[in-house]
Amino acid sequence: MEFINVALPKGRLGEKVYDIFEKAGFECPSIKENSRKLTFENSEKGIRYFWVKPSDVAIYVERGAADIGVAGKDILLEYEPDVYELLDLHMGVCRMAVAAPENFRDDKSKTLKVATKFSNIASNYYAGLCRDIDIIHLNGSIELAPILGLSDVIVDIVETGKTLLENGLVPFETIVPISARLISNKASYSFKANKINEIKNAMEEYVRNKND
Amino acid sequence: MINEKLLKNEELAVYRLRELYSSFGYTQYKMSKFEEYDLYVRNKDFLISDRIITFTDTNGKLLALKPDVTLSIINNFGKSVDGIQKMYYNENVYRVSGGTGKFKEIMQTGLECIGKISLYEITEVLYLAIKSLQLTDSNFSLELSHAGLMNALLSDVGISDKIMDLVLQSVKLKSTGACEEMLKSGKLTEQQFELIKAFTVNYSDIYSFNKAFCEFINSEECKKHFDEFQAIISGVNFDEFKGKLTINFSLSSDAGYYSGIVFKGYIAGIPTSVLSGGQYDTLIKKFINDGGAVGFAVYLDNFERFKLATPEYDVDTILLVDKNDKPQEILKTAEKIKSTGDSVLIQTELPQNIRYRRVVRMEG
Repeated sequence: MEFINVALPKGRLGEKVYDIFEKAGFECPSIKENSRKLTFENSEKGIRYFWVKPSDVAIYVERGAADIGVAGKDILLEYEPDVYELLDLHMGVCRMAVAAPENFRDDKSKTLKVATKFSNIASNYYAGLCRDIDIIHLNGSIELAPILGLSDVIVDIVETGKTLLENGLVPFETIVPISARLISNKASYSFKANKINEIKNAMEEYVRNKND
Repeated sequence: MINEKLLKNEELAVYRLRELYSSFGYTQYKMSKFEEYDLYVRNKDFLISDRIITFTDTNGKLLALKPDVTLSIINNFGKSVDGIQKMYYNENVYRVSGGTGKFKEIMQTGLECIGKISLYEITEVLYLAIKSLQLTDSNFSLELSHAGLMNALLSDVGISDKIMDLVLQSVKLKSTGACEEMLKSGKLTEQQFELIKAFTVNYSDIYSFNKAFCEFINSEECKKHFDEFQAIISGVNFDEFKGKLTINFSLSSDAGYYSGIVFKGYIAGIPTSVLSGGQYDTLIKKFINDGGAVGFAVYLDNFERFKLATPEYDVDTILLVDKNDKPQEILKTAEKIKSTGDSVLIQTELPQNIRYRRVVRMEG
């Protein structure tokens, strides 16, 4: 039987994502058992799941190790993988925003120092505004950068804004809304379009009913 | 006679493809590894990536390692083409790999048909693209689109330039979410949204394609492109391929320089496309006065991962000899083994890292 390999993002979001697959009729009970297994399959439904680091989902899908997967729009915009983005799951909803200390005023006569984990998204955003910037790529604790004078602003994911507020920062501009997306490898879609669409349509129906 | 067992996957593919293209009268085009950098600067839009390896020649000219073959071929024609020129090539190109972001040498083979091309030549090139995939593996898939038809349809329903990028991006990603938002906010009409949705679907038979688009074919321009597309896909017996050929408009929105048919091929087991091509009249008009062009490239860099011809053994027979055996006797025995069709490796003791089918000892 032809299997569809699904890369799920590890963590709480991933568990919620699996629930959608389950509710859409592509359950795999063994995934909820406490075991050391790395892949889980339901041969009757022709589906095989595996957990990967959320930022790696797009790589697994782009390189064809997974036919489909669920990745955040932030990862898709940052790494621009060559994949189809079949469905917005309306989960993990947040936004990519520019944040800065409350008293920040943008001095357009100077290069703007921007600290971020999302260099590509930040570069594209400011290129669209024709603003000269200096990107400081950081891997974590982004909020620290403006506090210590490393940067003028940060570009980061904002969910509730609570962490920013606790560090004396406020979101100034929203760059793009973010949510989890169902993605597909292009070659897999070419060979397995019927099965992938069957999964996508069932998930779409569930997501729509849930949100209505 | 070539022993195909000795060829690597990509070499075997090149051999078979050259045989195919020659049999249709295409002649081989050999070119230099370098090209003046200026050619690529002037035609950046045609390149997949504008990152190119450059160096200065001894006379001070800035040269580039070829990132693309088609530009070099059409650049060498001059301003006019005599009739229709059909040629194929097998060259290495140097591009940034999407996965690693580093430069990579890619073996590429392909063909170009340039000049006063007609419906027949376009169909022939598409037919050869299908045959190229078929020769490599029976489990293939070819996706087709028509850039002219897509542009005409979008223009007919009145998609404005302001939202065109977003619409094309939605078609490319097969994602209608952003367009649904625009429909809700009144930036798109119901008809425009229905057309965009139709573009995101794949069609594996002509009937369902016609059904989805017939209501949008109104203007002369649309009809012209629609009829041409129909004639091309009928010309290669689209429906007889039973699901191996698919109409997929996501291709067109990804390749700005194509003016007519666009296609991309896949082979099961390789996660990226292995063949890509189409009709590029807009580009060719920058180089020659009168004519069009159609062609495709087969990317062979992924073929080494393809498990087409992985042999079970590195060598068929190990011939074990010792220091007292006479060289002429060893060679005679080796030739005898080879005459049975086996490969032979002569060793004094059994090697550790080689897979072999049998061991033969020299008779003393």
